[in-house]
Amino acid sequence: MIPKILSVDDSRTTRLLLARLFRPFLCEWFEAADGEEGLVRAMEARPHLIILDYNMPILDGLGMLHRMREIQELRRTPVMMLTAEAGLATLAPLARLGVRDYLTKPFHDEDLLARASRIIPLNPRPPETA
Amino acid sequence: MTSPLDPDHLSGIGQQALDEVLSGFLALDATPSVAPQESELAAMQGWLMGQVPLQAERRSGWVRITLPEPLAGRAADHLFGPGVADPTDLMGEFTNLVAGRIASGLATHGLTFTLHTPTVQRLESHPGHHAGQVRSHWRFWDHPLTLDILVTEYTP
Repeated sequence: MIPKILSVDDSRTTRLLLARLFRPFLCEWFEAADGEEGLVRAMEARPHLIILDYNMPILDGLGMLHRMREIQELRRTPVMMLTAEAGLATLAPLARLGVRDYLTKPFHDEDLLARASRIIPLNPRPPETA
Repeated sequence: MTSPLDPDHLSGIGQQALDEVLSGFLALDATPSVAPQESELAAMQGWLMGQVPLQAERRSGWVRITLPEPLAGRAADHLFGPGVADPTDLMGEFTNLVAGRIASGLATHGLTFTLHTPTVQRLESHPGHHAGQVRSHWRFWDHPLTLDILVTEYTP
């Protein structure tokens, strides 16, 4: 299985950082800039992992999570949350919505990869396709 | 006991936040600095000011970061190579992360703030006057960076 990863983040900079981080690994990469677009991309791609920003315009991470839990096809999709701040008020609702893991930004690359690899297999991309 | 909103304490939280984000997000070391000379500020045309509003029960405020536009471009190139990242987007995310760290710092003292999405404004000249409670100055790559924080309490 080649894992599909969807990054939902309004910051293109963060999406670029994440795409670069996962580039050495065999995976399909998808992106969305807000929760509404994230839902559409998630339905199209059926990712094995969603890396979801908390604070976004249009539909934020929490809103997207609520909507995902109402959609049969996305209900069980593992989500790793990225938050800019780590207060209990932010984290408690995430736990109730079944978020598999969370990280505060700026994240450490090794930490994020280690947590992702507990959810999806991360195998090195063959050199010719890297 | 000192209030977490005491200017000295707030300044410490802000400086730690900025230091952590500069090194963790931009892989840069910045140095705390004295206020830049007016002549230096006047000589630079084009500034980016990132702002994140903060909201809590009976409190509101913002975190603002101001730096020369070319510096944001250079930081973006440093991170991804020339022409890949958008300096304005990078500035917004940078401000967002610093505000997040500040909110986390305040949360450890029982003050829970909600962060709003960042905005970035392009200014022709540096906003010399500041309306914040706390202002700190930094330098990296020999350019000035300003961090302003404001938190006010109000009665509903």
